[in-house]
Amino acid sequence: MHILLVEDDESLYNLYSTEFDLNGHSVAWHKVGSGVIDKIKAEKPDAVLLDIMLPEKTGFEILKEVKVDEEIKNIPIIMLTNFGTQENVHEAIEEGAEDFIMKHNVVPEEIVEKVEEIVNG
Amino acid sequence: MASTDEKTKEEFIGMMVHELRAPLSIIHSSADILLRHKNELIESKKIQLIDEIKQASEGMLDIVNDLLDSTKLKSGKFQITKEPNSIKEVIDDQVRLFESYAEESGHTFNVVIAKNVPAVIHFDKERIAHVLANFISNAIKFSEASDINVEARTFDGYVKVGVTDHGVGISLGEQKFLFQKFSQVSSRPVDSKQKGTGLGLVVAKGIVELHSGDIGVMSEVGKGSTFWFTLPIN
Repeated sequence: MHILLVEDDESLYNLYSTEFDLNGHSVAWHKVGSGVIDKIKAEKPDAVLLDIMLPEKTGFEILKEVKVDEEIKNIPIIMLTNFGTQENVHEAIEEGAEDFIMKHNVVPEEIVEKVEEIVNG
Repeated sequence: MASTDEKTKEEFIGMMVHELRAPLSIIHSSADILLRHKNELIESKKIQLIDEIKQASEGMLDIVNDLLDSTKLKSGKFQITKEPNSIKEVIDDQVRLFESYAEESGHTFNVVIAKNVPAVIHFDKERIAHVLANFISNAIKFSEASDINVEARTFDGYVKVGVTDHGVGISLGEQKFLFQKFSQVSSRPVDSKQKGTGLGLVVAKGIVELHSGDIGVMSEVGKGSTFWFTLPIN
């Protein structure tokens, strides 16, 4: 499984990529909100972990762009956030996100399990 | 119904919990990976994870220390020890300490100490170094790769020390609340990436005022900010 992580916090990248790697998966990293669509097209990931608060562009804006792009719209997008207010969850799911992870409520192992579950059906 | 004061305090506690939770989560996750994969992880990965734990715990310590200091300042229990010290030495030390952190983010320091700044004035070296460290770390945090100017001049019987960044700047409306406790509460969205409790500036103000000095900011949105403090020469 190949994952694209869009997240500006390097510590989280270190943790997530270590856990994915130990489970036999690879992680590509993109740390700003701009250029994500091109990165998805280049990496062709099995799933995208997409942070909501990013420099330059929000995760919600990127999600909307992905979902209208024929080439990549079927790649599962899992949103990452610090706070999981109901509005966040509803907005992301309505826009076509596969799921939603409150990143400070889970350890990386649970994120790997969730992504495996989504990708493998 | 909760009063405005109570509501602000509740919001402040909520923000503190959030600020502590992010590094705590990094510590928890790093320890979890280290324990579960102790036999598979290569040495360099183990060190990287231990470093994550160290950095996150240092961040938490800073928050807790600021909270304790701000409480002590409010209750009058905060003590300073004024001794003959060199402000130039404090500036040089802090710039040196922040040099590698600044380099990583593409910042360069320009230090200017005016010739007429006295070699020695009376102040608490550790506390004033803390104020300057707060200004410098904010300048790095809130600006993209650019120059950061650290200057000391004399001004009307005082030494004035300023740290200037070329960052996002702060609106006049926000400047009013910068040195007040709970200031970060109302001015940022819940899921903001903006880091910090805002307590560092509250503590800085308390320290400078105990020295009979003044503290302030000059800023323009989109251009940058100068945070400054003064210390009396006599």
